[in-house]
Amino acid sequence: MNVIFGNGEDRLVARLTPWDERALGFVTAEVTAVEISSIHAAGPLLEQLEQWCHANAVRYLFGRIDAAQPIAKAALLLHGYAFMETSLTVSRSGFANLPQVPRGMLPTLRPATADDIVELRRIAANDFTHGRFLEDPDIDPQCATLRTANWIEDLVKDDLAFVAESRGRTIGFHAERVAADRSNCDLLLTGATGAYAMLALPLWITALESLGARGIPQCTTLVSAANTGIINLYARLGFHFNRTLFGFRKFL
Amino acid sequence: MNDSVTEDKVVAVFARVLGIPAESVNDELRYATIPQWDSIAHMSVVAALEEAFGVMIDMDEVIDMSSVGKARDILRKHGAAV
Repeated sequence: MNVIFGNGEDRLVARLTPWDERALGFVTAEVTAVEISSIHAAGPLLEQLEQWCHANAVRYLFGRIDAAQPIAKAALLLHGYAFMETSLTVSRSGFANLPQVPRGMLPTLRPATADDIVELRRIAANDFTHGRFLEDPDIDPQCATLRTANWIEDLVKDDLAFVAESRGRTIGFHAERVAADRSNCDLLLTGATGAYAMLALPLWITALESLGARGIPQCTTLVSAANTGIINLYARLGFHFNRTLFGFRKFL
Repeated sequence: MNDSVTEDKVVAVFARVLGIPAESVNDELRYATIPQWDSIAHMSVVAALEEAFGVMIDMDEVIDMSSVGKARDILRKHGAAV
């Protein structure tokens, strides 16, 4: 549930993130919006936010804002928030003109079931160097990895994950959330397991062709700027780079 | 643009697809040891080899194709004169 701290023109929005708490072992919260008109206005709002954090025993507060918001960036740095990561939002409209790959290389996608969880957790833990979570060097790497493994398990339980198979072998997975009005699909987590890393491009093509076949007009996702491999992949797949995000955090 | 000329068709395919001089392609060149040969380029290499030699390379072979020398072995297995 989002909590809004505002004074009319300016506002901050935050939420507790129990999925992070499950992996990290302490209470965490995410700032999901920072809309401020001046550095001066940010102070009282950040103070309210941190009071709410104290009331909820939050130890780790993090978020991402548009890197083109200099006032918000300056305000966060001024109030003790540290810059952690740059990430990019990317999108693709329509699914025509995808790169050609040998048809025999395209894996199939089937809905993941509870029986797949162990293997998908293993892939998420071992083969995802980068993911959707804020990359923070002060977070224990094993705990950080656990967040992705927990997440794929949650996605399987929510019927949002698919197993990528080729000739009966699991080569990776794909998870997505299609908007209720079917206007967009958020690509949550997609990747090939280590031994099949060469099949990353065909896996993405299968996932995107599947969206096209279901009449979904567009997809969006978020990628860490540190993950140059996937950025090159998105470029090859014809994605558009939309926004650069500034990832920040503060231990309270 | 690669202006190198080579009579080795395997080398020529790798050089053209990866956009590197033919002189830098030899049987020891391995997947993911140069930025140009990543998982994205790998699929293009496979497609270009299939077209150049008129063969169909299966998935296990694609995964096994970890060097230019391995590619040559796979093509030879399919009867290509390499």
